[in-house]
Amino acid sequence: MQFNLSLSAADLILLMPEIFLTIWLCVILALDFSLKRITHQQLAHLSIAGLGITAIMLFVFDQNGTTGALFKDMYVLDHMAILFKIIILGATALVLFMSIDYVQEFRFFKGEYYFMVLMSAIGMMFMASSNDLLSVFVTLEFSTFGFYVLVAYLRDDQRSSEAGLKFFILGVFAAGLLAYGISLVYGETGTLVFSEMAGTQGSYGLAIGFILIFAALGFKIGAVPFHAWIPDTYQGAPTPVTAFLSLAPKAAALAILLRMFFVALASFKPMWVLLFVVASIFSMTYGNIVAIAQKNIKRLLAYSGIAQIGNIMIGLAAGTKQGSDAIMFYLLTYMFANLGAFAVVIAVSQVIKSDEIEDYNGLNRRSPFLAAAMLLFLLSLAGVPPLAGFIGKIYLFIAAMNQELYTLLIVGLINIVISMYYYLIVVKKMYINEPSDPSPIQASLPIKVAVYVGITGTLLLGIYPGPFIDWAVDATLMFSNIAAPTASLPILPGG
Amino acid sequence: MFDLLVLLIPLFPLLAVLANGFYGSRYSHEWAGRLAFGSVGLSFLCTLGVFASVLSNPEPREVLAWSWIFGGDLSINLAFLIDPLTTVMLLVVTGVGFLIHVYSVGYMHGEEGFTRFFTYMNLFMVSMLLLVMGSNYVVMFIGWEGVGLCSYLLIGYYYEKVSAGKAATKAFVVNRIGDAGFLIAVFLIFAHFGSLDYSTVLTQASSLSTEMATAITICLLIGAFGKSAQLPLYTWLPDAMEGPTPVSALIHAATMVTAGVYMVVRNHVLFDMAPIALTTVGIIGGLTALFAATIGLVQNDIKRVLAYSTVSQLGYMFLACGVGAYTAAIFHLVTHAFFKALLFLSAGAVIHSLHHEQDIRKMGGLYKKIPITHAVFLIGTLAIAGIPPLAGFWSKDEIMAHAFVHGYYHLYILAAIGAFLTSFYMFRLTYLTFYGQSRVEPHVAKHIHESPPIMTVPLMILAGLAVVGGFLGVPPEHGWFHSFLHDVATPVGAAPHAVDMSTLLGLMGAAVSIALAGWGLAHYMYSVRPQMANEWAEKSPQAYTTLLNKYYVDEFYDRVIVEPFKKLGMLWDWVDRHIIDRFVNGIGKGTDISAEAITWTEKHVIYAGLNVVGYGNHLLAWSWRKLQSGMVHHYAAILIIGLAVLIHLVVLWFTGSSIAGSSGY
Repeated sequence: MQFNLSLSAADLILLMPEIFLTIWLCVILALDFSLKRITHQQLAHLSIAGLGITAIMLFVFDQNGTTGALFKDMYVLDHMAILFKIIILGATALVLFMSIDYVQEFRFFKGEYYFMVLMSAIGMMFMASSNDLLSVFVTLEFSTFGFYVLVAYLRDDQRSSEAGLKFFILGVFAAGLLAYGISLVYGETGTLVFSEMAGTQGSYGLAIGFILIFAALGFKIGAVPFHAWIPDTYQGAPTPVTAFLSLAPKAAALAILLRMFFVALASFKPMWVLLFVVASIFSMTYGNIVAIAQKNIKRLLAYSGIAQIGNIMIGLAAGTKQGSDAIMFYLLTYMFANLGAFAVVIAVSQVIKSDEIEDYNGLNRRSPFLAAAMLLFLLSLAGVPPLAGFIGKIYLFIAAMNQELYTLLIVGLINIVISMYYYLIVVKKMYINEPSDPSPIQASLPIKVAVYVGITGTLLLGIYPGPFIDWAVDATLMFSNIAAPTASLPILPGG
Repeated sequence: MFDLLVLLIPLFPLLAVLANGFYGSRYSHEWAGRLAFGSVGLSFLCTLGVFASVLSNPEPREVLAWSWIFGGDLSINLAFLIDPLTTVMLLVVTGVGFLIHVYSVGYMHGEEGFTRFFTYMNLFMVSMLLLVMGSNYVVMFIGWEGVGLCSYLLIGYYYEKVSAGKAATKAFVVNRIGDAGFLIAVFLIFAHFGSLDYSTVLTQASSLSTEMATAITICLLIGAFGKSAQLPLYTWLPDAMEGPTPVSALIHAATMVTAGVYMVVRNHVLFDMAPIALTTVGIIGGLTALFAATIGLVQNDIKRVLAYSTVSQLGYMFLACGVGAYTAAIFHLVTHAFFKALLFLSAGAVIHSLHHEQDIRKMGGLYKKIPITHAVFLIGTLAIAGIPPLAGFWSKDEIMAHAFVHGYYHLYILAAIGAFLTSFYMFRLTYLTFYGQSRVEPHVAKHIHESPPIMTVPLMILAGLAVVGGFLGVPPEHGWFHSFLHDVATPVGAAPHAVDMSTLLGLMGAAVSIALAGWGLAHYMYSVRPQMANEWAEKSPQAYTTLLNKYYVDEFYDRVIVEPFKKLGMLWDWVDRHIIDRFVNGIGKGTDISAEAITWTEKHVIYAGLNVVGYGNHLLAWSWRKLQSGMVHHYAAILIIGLAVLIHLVVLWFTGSSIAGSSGY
């Protein structure tokens, strides 16, 4: 295999967003150590501006249809990649808004924090574009390295260090599975490019190979049974990092999952449909039931995140264009509601220095704004009309219903009821219980910005979803004729 | 351009709702008021633009705001239908609405909750506009519920008053009964047509069987009777007078209560297929017209008299629908909006000048002290009583003539008696309020004053409309109004009915005589021999008290419906607490326990088991031991076990099985 890496200017345009952001973050790093007087707030604003410019660039690409593939199809910029990248950038910007005040608490390396966050964001942008197994491996590791550092950023906090180490060990373990899976798939098919794999014959090596790859990606998105690292890491990590971790890597990994299963393995559809149905049912049920017993809001959101990934996998299990549309749209709704909820958690914890759900008692009296925002986000996560989450769930369920996945559908509906229970417990504590300390809670301006963005998105996507659904539908046009399954596994002797 | 104008109509009041609702406390009342009536005024200007466009092109046009829900076979758009019928409703709602908003700024001056009042009023405008503009039943339903909500909020505006709270609840609950009917009708329509767009439903109506059409229209009627306060669901409207007077004028006279009439006319294609429903509309309308008029004869609260009069006039509109005179129904709706808004607002001006005195027994002789109010009130009275050439004469006469000519003599008789009573009680109200001896309490009498121009100017405009509004429909059945609405409000299969001029003129003469007779009797009883009314009341006390107590219908409903329901509620509460809650709590507890159990199992059983595995691992891999912090090896083990299970599952499931067609997990 020989790579021809000569690039024309036209090709470089496709890489412009990543190139620009890379230069931008180097500038930020340089400014941080060369200008003594620059404050970390200014660095944050610069970072957000860079993210904004990159997002606008991508949006213009989307409108102009500037798409294409680079490096022998290793890197592809299509409408789906653009939408995923915009989601990642949006999530990163929201996380930076939440971080501005939080970063004060770090004793060391305030400026590098932004560098690490942007670095991970670039890694995830590459993930959204990776179109063969080699680039999957490289970009996935690239983005995860940033997170290893970020999770352990509170160096004095034992929990944070522990979380970082656990995440690192298990992350490396998952990387091992990924490499093993890739080697099996390459051995069976002789190629690493997704589009060339389509239509290959079934074999055990291939089946086990892609299950291994699924495990590594399932680790990233936190699907049962690859979820074990999530609660501890979420709880231990600095809260803005938790928020970041709860959305952006999931979006990037979903992009890879979609490309790999919907394109490369389309002929194995019944097999991976089973895989996703099982993972989805277990994720939803496990996440929702265990969430009930949680006493810490970050852990609650961690388990809720596991359950939400279960919801998203309903769309993967449907295995149709409709399913991918629903996933894209659901991710948008999830971004606003989930990051909004984390913003409220940060705002509250900055004042009361606690993440225990007990301490949310009477929040409505201490800060009506934060309580109302939290109510809105939790209801959207639970899927109550007319909020965004409702529309998102409707589309996921419609996709599953059209594929006659009734078991999955019924389990999903039951799970909505269960999730309602623990979301509403938080609501009850906020609105009905008496606060132990009635002093008011003030949120700082940057966090308010994040909360307002969350509220706006949650309401807008619920009431006026049309254009966003159109956007999601256009983004996944390439799946509109997902191939009919042709492959099967050979009969084992005596099987 | 046209689309933009249409979209702007509901958008302006909506923006005012958002501004006043969220930021109203940050600026002065004056600005809140300006924003409120200014937004409605802009809507009115847009409506005029739309009207001009419809005049040149009366074809129905749909304007899509956005696709709201689409999936499977169902698609629901927030879309607006603009045709002559909608345009007429828009002109009434925004035009009269604008005048009432301006008036309210004066009337509500200095009230606590001024901004709240205008937020609700503008929210009402948005809902009412959705109701009349919607191009499908869902948008109409949203508007339908929205106006109900705003009605509730505004009736209960003085929430410290217990009676206001009760009246608001009553209005809401009675309306819910109607709403349930409307909703069932919408379900039936969707079940049959698979669509909720007027354009589909009304053009394919001929595919309905008579039974289905009857079922749908009867359910629609239940909704209409609730919203438009017809027998037997009218009881909430008189109580709704607890709200501020501009609310009564806007919601409970000119716009919301006419929504039922609009809905019937909008769906007249369905009604034309269901003769039973049409007969029901006609008879209920006629009976309500007469029944409410009799109660109106003896009421002593100025607003209550007007409220019963509204119920009665709405009865005329339904009667018109029942005899197939849809254009006449809308015509009466329009003229009624003019003169009833006028009457309510001038009653409000009276109340305003008498420091919230509403009892007509404590009024009298006011015409000298508040001459403008007196003049406009008199014009309103003449218009509603049917004295030519004022607006009410033309529209009411047309309804009655249509009933007579088409052979609905029983309805004609009901309407004629009703017209006599209308004329009588309205002039009774006028005489008791403005003429004769002053019975005003002395400490109030000193402060009687004319209202400020911000209130009187809208009154004068409405008075002008009440005078000339009727000429829209002259000559009867062939006026401009009729040709404008011809395409949208002509009954299906109606043959042109040749009526000779002498009959029409005779009927007009009869109508005028009836109105004059009512006036004459009122003049005699309340001006010439003022003691006569009391003599009559003493002579037949039973009839008088029955009327005064509104035929005891409220008491009857209380005894037969409300109380048993309360008892049932208490019974159900018991069942709920002792049986269902226990069951639900059981499930909750079970889930709680299972959550705890899973956590416990995870901690003790799985990890214990894993520890065993782990020790095996330790022996094998020394390096692992050094890296271990906490339980991380357990996590890795969970991951591996899960992976193994998945691989087994997929490989076993698919070994040798044919792939195609294996779905349905």
